[in-house]
Amino acid sequence: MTTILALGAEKQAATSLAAAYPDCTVIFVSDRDILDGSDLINVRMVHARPADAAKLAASADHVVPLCARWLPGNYALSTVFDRLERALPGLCLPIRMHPPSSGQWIVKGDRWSRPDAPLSGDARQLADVTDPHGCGLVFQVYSETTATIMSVGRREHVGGVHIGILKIFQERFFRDAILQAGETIDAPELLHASIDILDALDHRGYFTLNWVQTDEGLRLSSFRPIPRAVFQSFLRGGVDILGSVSAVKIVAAGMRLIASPTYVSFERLST
Amino acid sequence: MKNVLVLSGTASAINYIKSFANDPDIRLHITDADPYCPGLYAPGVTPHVVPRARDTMRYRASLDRLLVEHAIDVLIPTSDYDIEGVVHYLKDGWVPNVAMFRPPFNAFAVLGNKGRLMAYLAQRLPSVVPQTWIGVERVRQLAFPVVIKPAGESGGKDVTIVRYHDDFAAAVERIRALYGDEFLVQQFIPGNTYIVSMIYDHDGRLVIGVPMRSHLTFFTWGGGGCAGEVVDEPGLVRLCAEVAEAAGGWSGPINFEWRKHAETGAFYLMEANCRLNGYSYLTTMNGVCLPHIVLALLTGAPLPAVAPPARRNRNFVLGFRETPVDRWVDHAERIVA
Repeated sequence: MTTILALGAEKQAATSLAAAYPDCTVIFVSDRDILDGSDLINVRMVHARPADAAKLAASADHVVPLCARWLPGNYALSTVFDRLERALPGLCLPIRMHPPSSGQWIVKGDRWSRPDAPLSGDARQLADVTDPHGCGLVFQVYSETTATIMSVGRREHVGGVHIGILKIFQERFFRDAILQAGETIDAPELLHASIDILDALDHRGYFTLNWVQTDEGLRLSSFRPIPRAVFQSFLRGGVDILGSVSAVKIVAAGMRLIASPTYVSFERLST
Repeated sequence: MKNVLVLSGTASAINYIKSFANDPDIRLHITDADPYCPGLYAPGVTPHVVPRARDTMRYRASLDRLLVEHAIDVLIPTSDYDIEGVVHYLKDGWVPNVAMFRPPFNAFAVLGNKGRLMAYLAQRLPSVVPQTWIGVERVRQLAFPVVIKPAGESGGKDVTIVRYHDDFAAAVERIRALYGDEFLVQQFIPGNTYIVSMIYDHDGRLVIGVPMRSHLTFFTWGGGGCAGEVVDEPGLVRLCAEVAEAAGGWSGPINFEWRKHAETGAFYLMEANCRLNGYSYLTTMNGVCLPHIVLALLTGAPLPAVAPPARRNRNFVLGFRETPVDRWVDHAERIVA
């Protein structure tokens, strides 16, 4: 039986992955001791730390990182956006290591998403923000947006991308960012911009690009090397993100999803 | 067949939906202002999108229409905003022809606002009240850490724990930008969060109280629970009953959130919410179906049997699972009054 290793399985995408691939054994790996998913018969759970990821990955058919914390490369927003600003100027919302004294700013995690509710304000209002989770902090221009759109998928080489463009109707922010409601759309301009970005970075692996519609047009607000909780919807839309990547495959428009609250009992993972 | 209208489609409404949706004797109607709210897409429900409850005139008109058009027999508000709206309508003379709880307005005015509740109880049950400051003029007297929270929200929304005096001004600036002066500063109580969900009958008699404890919170710093278990704490239920009585009594569901001090073991009241708690489905998982108790009290049916405390041993973790849907709730189901 095919084995999928889900690294950082405390994320919402873990149960999405397990539900989408019921014929595979999906191993939830997390350093948290309480996880959702114990009712899914194809799920096994393992307590481990990011340092153990390479060893665990050796015996899996697919490795799906669900949080950038579990990846060894440098995917920090500050680094990625710096590269993109040079390669594709004007496409990204600017990132700062410290909030300038004027303007409104939103706080983000640099190396991975900062947990909990988003914080925004001017420099004075953000003066107390610290980094207890070690994700690194960056500050991004906070502007009114009229839409949020995500490009989610996996790229293996130039011309080899599985991708879906998802209009986000609602996202909720707790420990994890929850994709609450969205729908895949047909957006050729955004598709091409997303592929340009992935090519400029020569990114290999999973990705989520976060786009926001501003008064000045679409701007990239985030890049993370992970997928989101879209696996079932993307399969319905004709794209297997985990499958062999040989061309550009695009998820059909009109795939709708919500996040349903689910209650299951748990056993604490041994530490 | 009873037409039951549950206001709101998330948090505590999930317990009602999971408990009622497959009952052949109930036609379950769910409302929410958010057309993407998960409860609207639960199997077996009739969804309605309504104006926001704080848009009071339009919301009330849409409720009146729904009650008539769908011959609603039972009305159950489940979110803080819905309850606030309904309680105010009742005070203003609203007399809908449905079975519903009509809690005393004065008690709601105390219980539904953290600042007022703390000030009120400081005189009557001071041992359960964390030190609380409304306004920041007396900040020099604070012993850090403290918690800054909006007076009228719940679930950890826009709460900040401030550990050092130097960080206090920024946190106050931030909450003031959102809520003006409607916030309070409170002593931080280290320890676990407990919740007691209770149901009072029409005459203000306590029917049941179920204590629960969180193992995991929505936010890394705390907030509402997303994993937990039922516990046997009869003393805590009695404490809740004292709080409700001190506030003027209650009718219907209500929950009280507490922190058990990690060092002293003393319980401190954090807030009251005039509804079942967000994860009250845990009680249903454990053989205590609070929604069916609510329904029985509203319809005059016999109260359902409940499992004894010793058998309430299932814990829970809350997940938010990707669920494909075929269509969004369409305009025909959107009630705009």
